[in-house]
Amino acid sequence: MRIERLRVEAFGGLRGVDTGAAPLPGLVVVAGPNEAGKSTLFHFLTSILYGFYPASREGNPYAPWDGAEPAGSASLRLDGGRCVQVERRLLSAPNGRMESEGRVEELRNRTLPWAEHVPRTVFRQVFAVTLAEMAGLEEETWARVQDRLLGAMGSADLRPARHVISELEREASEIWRPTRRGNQRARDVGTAIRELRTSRRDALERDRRERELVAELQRIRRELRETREARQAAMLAVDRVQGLIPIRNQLLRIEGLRNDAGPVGALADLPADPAGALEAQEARVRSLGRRVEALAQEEVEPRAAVAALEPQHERLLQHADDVTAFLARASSLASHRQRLATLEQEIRDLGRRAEGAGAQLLAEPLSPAMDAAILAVPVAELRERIRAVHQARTEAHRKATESAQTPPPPPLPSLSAPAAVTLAGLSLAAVGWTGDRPLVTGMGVALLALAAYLARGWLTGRRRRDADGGTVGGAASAEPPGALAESQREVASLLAALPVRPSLLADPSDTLTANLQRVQELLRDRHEREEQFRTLRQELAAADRDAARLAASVGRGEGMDATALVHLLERELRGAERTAERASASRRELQRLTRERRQAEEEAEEAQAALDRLRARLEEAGGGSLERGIQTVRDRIQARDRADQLQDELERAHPDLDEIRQRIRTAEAQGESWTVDDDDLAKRKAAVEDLTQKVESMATRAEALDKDVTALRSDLTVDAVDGEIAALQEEEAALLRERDRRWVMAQLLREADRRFREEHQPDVLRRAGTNLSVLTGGRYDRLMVDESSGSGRFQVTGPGLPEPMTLAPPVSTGTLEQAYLALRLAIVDHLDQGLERLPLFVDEVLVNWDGHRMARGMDLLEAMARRRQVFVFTCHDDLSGALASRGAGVIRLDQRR
Amino acid sequence: MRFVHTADVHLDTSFAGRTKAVRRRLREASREAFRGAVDLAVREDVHALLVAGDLFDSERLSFSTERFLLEQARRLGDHGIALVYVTGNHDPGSPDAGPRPLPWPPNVRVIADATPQRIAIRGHDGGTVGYVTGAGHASPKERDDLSRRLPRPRGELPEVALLHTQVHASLGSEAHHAYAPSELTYLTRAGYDYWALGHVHVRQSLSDDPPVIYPGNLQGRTHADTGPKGAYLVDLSDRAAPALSFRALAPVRWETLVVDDLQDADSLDRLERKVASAWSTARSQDPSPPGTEWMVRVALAGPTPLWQELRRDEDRALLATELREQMAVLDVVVQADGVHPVLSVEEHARRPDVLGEVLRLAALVRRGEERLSLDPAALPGLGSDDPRAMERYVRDLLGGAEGELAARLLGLNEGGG
Repeated sequence: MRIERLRVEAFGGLRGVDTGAAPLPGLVVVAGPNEAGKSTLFHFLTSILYGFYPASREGNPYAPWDGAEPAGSASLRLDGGRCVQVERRLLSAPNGRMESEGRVEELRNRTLPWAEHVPRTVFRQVFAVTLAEMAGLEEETWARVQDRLLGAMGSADLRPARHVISELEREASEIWRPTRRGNQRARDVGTAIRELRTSRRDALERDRRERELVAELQRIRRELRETREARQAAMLAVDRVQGLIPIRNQLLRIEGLRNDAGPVGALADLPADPAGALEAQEARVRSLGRRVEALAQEEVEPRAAVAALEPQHERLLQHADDVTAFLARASSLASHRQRLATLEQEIRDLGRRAEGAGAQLLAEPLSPAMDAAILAVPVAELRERIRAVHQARTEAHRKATESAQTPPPPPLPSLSAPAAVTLAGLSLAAVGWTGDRPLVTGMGVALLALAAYLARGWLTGRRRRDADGGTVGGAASAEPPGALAESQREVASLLAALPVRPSLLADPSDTLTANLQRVQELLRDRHEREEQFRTLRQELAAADRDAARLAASVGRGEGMDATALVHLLERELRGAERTAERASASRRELQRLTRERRQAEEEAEEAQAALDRLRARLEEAGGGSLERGIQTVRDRIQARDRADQLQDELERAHPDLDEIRQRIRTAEAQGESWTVDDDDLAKRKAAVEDLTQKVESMATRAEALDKDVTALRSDLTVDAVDGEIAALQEEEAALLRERDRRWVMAQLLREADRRFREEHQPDVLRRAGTNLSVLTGGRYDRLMVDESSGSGRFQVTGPGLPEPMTLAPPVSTGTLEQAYLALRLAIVDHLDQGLERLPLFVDEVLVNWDGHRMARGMDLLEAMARRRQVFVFTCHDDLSGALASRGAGVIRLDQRR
Repeated sequence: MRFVHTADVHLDTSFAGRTKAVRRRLREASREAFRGAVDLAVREDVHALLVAGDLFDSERLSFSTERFLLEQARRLGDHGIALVYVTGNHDPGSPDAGPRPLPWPPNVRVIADATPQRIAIRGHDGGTVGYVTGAGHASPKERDDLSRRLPRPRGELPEVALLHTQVHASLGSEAHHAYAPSELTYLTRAGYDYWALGHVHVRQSLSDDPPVIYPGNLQGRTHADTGPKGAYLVDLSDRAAPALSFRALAPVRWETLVVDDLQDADSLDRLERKVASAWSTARSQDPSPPGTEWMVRVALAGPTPLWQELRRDEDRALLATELREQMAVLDVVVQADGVHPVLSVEEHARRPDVLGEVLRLAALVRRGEERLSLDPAALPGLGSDDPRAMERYVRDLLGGAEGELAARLLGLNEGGG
């Protein structure tokens, strides 16, 4: 940046200054006498770049005295060649504008954008140092310079390290710092701990006091217990006088009465009224004797009833169930016998009727031997065959006209075989029937059936021969045709076992069937009756056998038939039962009477024994005399009862009698007197009163001590104080640790910052060293910062110096100025390196230098002015002339402005 | 012989809880734990209760604790149980160094100096069932190996050695001063059936044959004393096969809950839920008997948007109060040394500026590869002039510092920029 033109309307003492339309060169000399306004012009330029400061007209030291507004303008040419017009005016508030390339922008009081990289304070102190300022570059400014220097390392997003360091150290110091100045939290806690330690001493004192009080309390409680015991003893003595003596007397009387009564055990079974008891016991003995006799008399009658039950009764009763069962069975015997007679008659009638019906059917009289054969003929079959005969006869009539030849009949077989079989069958059937042996009867019937079959064969043969003979003999017209004859033979064969009337066979018809059926029915009825007859007869025989066995068992009615025996046993059983019932009832009665009698006998014996014992005890008590004994016992019992009565009264009046008795025994054991006068009693009462007061006093003291102990315990104990101290110590430790943490972070950052500076400062310092070497002609060749001591002071080295020399008195003013100018030139180059280069202002900087160094200084400034505009303020015409001769522009300020 | 082995009861410890109520509860807990040991002895009908030193925490015993202790000793006596107690470095036996002597009942045997005593333990029938041999600390800084003073055991009955000692290489011994040091190899060859030790607060069995046992302290006292605390029930009826079982007796447990996944915890509410959830998970993995009370240290670490809030005492106290309610525990302290802003320290450490410089330097210092030139006197929290201690302290202080330094330099902290 180069200031090409300045126009000051009013600023401090400057009025109407205008450097003119010709652009100011790189090197400008501002010349004028002292107080001509050189510093004012510098501040005007600063205000153009950074705005007014202070920003109020009242506060700004460059507000003109005549009331004019501080105002002015500048034409700037930026490093890039761009022109900018800047105007600033301090009205009631700062006002400013800038114009560039036809565009106007309100600035108000803002810093120009091209100067923002150098803060106002840095600008003031680095870009425009006076000689005095140069020698004492403020530490703050130096740090900011360095910050900017190091900020150029591309860390624009970082806060300056020293800010963070001071922030951390400030925070750390708020917690703790070595000195006691200001508030420090850790020290506050430390103070609280110290205060607590005082409290701890108090708590220890309370603890000690508590121990004393508890010890005293224990002692007082022990004394209290002892005093109470003493008071108890004294009260006992008074009690003895007031209450124990009457009770003791009463107890003594009771004891006397018990002595009179003698051993209690000896009286235990004796009555209070011995005479009355003796008399009552005698009466009882007599009464019991009478009772025994009466009961013995009552036993006579039942005993006789029991004896009436004889063995025969018992035998009968033993078989009572058998007899009863037989009697029940015998009730049907009579009807059985009557039915037997009826059946016998019916059998005879049916036999006669069968014989009559048989005569209609048979050619011979019906005999029992035929029964089986008759009954064996199947009536339905017979009926069918007869029907077949009828049909054949009808058919024969139809064929009557037809004649036919028939072969000669076979020879007639012999009749002897059927006859023999029939005889054998009849014999067996008869034997079976009469012998009541059905098996034999069956066999007979079978033989008869066989005989009938054989006879049929014979008859068939005969008929066939007869038929054949008729035909052969010329009587063929009288013989039935074949089918008819065949059917007739079929009928005959069915009846072959029977001697059926030939007429019936010759022309078999339904009559034959009806006759046969009638005979069969009658035979069946008769057989049924016969079967019933046999059964009844067997039952009756069995009844008779059972009756005989029963009679033998009961020993009665032997030889009687069943019916007679029934009557006898029925009568005798009822009698035996009645006798047994009476005997049983009498036996029970007898048992009861016997039991009562024996009990009465035992009671009588016991009563007699008791009477004997009572009498003996009384006689013994009376020394052999019953009367004296009665009197003695009566007296002793009365004494005993009186003692019991007194004891009872005493116990009711004194429920704690046992305790009182114990107290009496204790007092007796202590040998206390039981005869006390009034004075003695009064003394004893006074002693009790004293002890009572003492007890109360001690109890009060104990209570107070107890309260004191409780109060002491409720206060802060040493434990609690120790805990609070420990808690605060922990807090203090935590605070100190936090303080140390922040402080160590600060130191860490400081060290890192130092290292970073050491690494990066050399470039600046090297430039400064080069400048210094130029200015001093090589006497000093290096400028450095003393980081080791932490002072940040500058040092110079050179070929003639054995060690770095700190830039501070006694170093000469000229050397100091040369070193700081060298440094300043290096710094400004670094501060805005790569950015807009701001103008540099130097004030009387070369005036103390010798000619050579001045010339080298001007060379240096001239070289600088080629890259950055340099304003040299001087009141020395020689200097201004010399610079002007080197092409510098000159702004001359008059003193009167 | 059957006995209960306890150590390091530290009655009247000055607990540093956050509130009076918590401190009072912790003091009560120590007594409850000792009462629990006495209950155990009575319930299990043992012959002796052994205390291997540090029955008291300091030379001053409160009056109420004195009365409590005598009452418990009398309870043991009522059941015919001996109380054998050797003094330790916290309660040395010398009258001018340790607690004042108590009027112990006859069943109590105190071994208050380095002279060994062999005590016959009686059975309930009056016969001897075994022996306990011990030596105590007369001063708070006993330097001798007391184990070598104990006589060689003899006889047919079980022999127990009772000692307050620091066995070399025992777990956690580095946290204790090396008072009365002893060697495990010597202990195991000394001929005793059981070594009942105290001093190291971490429960551990140094040897099985014979058992060399530290039961740990009876009730945890600090956040360093984590896990169940209690006593050993020992049965030496069969000398060849000792039966040991640990019984947890401490009503209050101390635990540290590390929560370092805080990147998404952008509000205190969310942070509370995250911590409470981590606590539930931890408890489900390590269940405890019902009624156990907890002293919990919540150690927050890692990047979190709340790093500034967590750096503030008042915010941590508020968080602790809220967490105590949510976790239903006796008390919570929140430690947030390790939290830092959500940023990539590694990435910033590569920067070519002062931020990169400081992050690299911090890493070097934390790894011990660089040292800051600091005056120990400038570190009031160090409490030592030992350079190695200072190095450890500084390294410890710098945990999480990189993130905070980066945040401050980048102007991310309140008041920064």
